[in-house]
Amino acid sequence: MTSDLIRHLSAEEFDAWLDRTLVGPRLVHLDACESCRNQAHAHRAIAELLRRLPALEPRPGFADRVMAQVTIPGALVAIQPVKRRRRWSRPLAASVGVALAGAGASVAWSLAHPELLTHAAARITGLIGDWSWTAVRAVVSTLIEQPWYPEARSLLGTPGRAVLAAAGASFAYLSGLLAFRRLVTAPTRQTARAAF
Amino acid sequence: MADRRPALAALSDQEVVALARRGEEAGYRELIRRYQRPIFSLIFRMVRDRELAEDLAQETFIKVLNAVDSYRPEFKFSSWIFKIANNAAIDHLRRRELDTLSLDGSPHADTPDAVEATALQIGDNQESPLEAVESIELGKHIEAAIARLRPEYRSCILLRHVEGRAYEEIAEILDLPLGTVKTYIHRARNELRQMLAHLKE
Repeated sequence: MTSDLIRHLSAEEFDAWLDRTLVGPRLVHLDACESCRNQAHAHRAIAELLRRLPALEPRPGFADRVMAQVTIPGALVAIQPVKRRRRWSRPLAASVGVALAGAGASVAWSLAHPELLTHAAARITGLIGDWSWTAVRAVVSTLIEQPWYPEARSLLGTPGRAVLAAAGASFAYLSGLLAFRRLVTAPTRQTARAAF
Repeated sequence: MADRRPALAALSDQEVVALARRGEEAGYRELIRRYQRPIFSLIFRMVRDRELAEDLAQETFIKVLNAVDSYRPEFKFSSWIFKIANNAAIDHLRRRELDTLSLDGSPHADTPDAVEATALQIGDNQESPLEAVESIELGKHIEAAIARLRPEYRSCILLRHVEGRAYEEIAEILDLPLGTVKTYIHRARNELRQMLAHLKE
């Protein structure tokens, strides 16, 4: 007990005094001992100066900069394939709609006017026939007027020659067809890859 | 978000961490909000370079928040984050041997702008210009004295008297025996007392 009154404070006891947990005879010693009292007050002053140091702040946007590099668990959403609307689907649907509406209206009108429709059909068929015949005649007239026509016609003048010419033309056509097919068919054997 | 802030502020660290572990970004941001100042302050006072302190603080938060799933709730979150911050600062000091540092800004600052950018700004929000000047001067002296302490003393005294951490928590943060922590803090205070003796009124 007497030694508690005489012995100077230890480091731990100075800390205890700062924390206001020093009790009993050690407090009595502190009151009586000028050296310990000075030391204790000096420690308190230092602790107080440190306590008053301001908290420092990082630059604004610190949290955002951190969060940009943090992976939040479960926040990764499975990438869904983007459902793309086809650009042409809407105009196509509109066109089909219009066509169907037109066809429907046409059928309805035809059912309502059968004799008029028959007359119009006959007239249109006649016109198409006339135009086709005129076109054939124009083509044939143009062909006959060509300077090479008499010679070409003389080549086909007999049935034998005509058959030969038809056979030659067929052969040339088939040869061309086979060559083209071979050109576009994928190779059946593996071909070596070029190494770069 | 603004409506949730008071509710988040009322939660304990453990509850906020649980929120973050459920993938709530608000939980992450709340942890940053709570600890950005103490962590930045500690690192800044350890390395004395604003840019570097910010990089190390950012590194600390990224490490902690990316590993929030591995956090064990039986330990204090503050101990965990302070430990990582302190290790980051100490590792840097060991690499760069910056145990004793320039008083005004980074020792690597080679232009006046760089010195200004890396220097410590203290003594804001004072009542009068005279007090502000005195406070800034006093703050500079204290910061300079802290910078001259050994890094382990510096960590201990900053955690104890600036951040207000308990001795037991400091021992946990620094992986030191409790007695050693108390000794370091006592010696650090003694050294500061001697370094600042000329300021005695």
